Amino acid sequence: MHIAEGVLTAPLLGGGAALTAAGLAVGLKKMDYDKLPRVALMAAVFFVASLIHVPIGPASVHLVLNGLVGLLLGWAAFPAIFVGLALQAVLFQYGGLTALGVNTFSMASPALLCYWIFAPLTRGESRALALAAGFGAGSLAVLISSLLVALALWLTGEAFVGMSKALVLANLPIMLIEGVITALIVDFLRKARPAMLGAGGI
Amino acid sequence: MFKKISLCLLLALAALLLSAGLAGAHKTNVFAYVEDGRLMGEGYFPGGGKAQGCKVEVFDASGKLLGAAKTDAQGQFSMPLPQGRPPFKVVLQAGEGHRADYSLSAQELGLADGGQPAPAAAQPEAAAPSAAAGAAVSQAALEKSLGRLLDHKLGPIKAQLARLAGDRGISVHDVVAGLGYILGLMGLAAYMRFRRQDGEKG
Repeated sequence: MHIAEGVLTAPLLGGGAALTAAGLAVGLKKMDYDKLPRVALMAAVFFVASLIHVPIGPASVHLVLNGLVGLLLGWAAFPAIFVGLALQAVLFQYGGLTALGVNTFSMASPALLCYWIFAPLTRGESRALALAAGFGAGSLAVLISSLLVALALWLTGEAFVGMSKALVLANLPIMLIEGVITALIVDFLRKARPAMLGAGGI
Repeated sequence: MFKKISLCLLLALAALLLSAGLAGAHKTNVFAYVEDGRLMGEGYFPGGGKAQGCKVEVFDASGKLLGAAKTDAQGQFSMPLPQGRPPFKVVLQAGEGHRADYSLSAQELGLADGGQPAPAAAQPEAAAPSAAAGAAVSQAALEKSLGRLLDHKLGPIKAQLARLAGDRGISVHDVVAGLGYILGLMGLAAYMRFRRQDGEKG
């Protein structure tokens, strides 16, 4: 889901960069420096996750894990995902450097949304509800990211319905896998280190 | 405790990576070569996925569209070699924001710098004695068919070379480099924080 160099138009690149800059500013301002290692750890997880390729379905898809990043970081998902994507672009040639703004926004804003929706549920009493919330965060983040990428491509003239259908279908296995991974990690953290799911996020 | 969890997470990721190999990726590649008056090539994703049914466009040095083709089920395309000013740029649109290009120099196109086909190995001894005229004609025919035969035989080698030139896979070094950068950024942020604290105290 990395958009490559030369696909998007200049206004779209500019808009994405502006939105990402705003997200980064809020993320950095809200970031509690005592939780710096956590942000760095999640950036590393996001950076490496893209190498895990899932050979199911018609297209070339890989793990994103932005739902997990969002759930554990809240607003700080913006800087974490930005750093991860920048390094992927430079070292792996995934996605264009000029498209970094659009790519960061399309990955980090669903992460933040999932944090708002699901993070309170993961802290609740009910284990089943927490598991469901973990699954929801993992899969919904990928779904919304796919739709945002489709939207960006639609603005450059591709047909939206066909495009989003293709992207969502290609990422369907990823949604399921990430839902399960995120639910398992939430369950583990509830037992081992509930503070990581703690109120207030970062 | 946090250290232990981080370590576990990183180890789990490392194990996943090893099991998945570093093959998985998301970058699109395209290469092209000239064989027997046709422009051939292939589009693929690292890890073996073929870019099927994708649009391929060829542009000349001034950016003028020279021709278009579609890749088949093997990810391959072929079109009559268009005329234009070299170098050509072959652009593959793999959909969903994937795009790759490959540049074909005048040399690779078998053209002299002016864009004209290179004179076929000069005139075969123009001043041949009249007695050998018949031999000269057959020599010209021989050169032509030999040229075609060589093109045919060398096609796969050219394809492989083009693929090697365009394909720089992801190495473990890249992954380690990225993780190192993240660690470094974390250190930098911590350093800035401590400096600010010192300033406040002093």
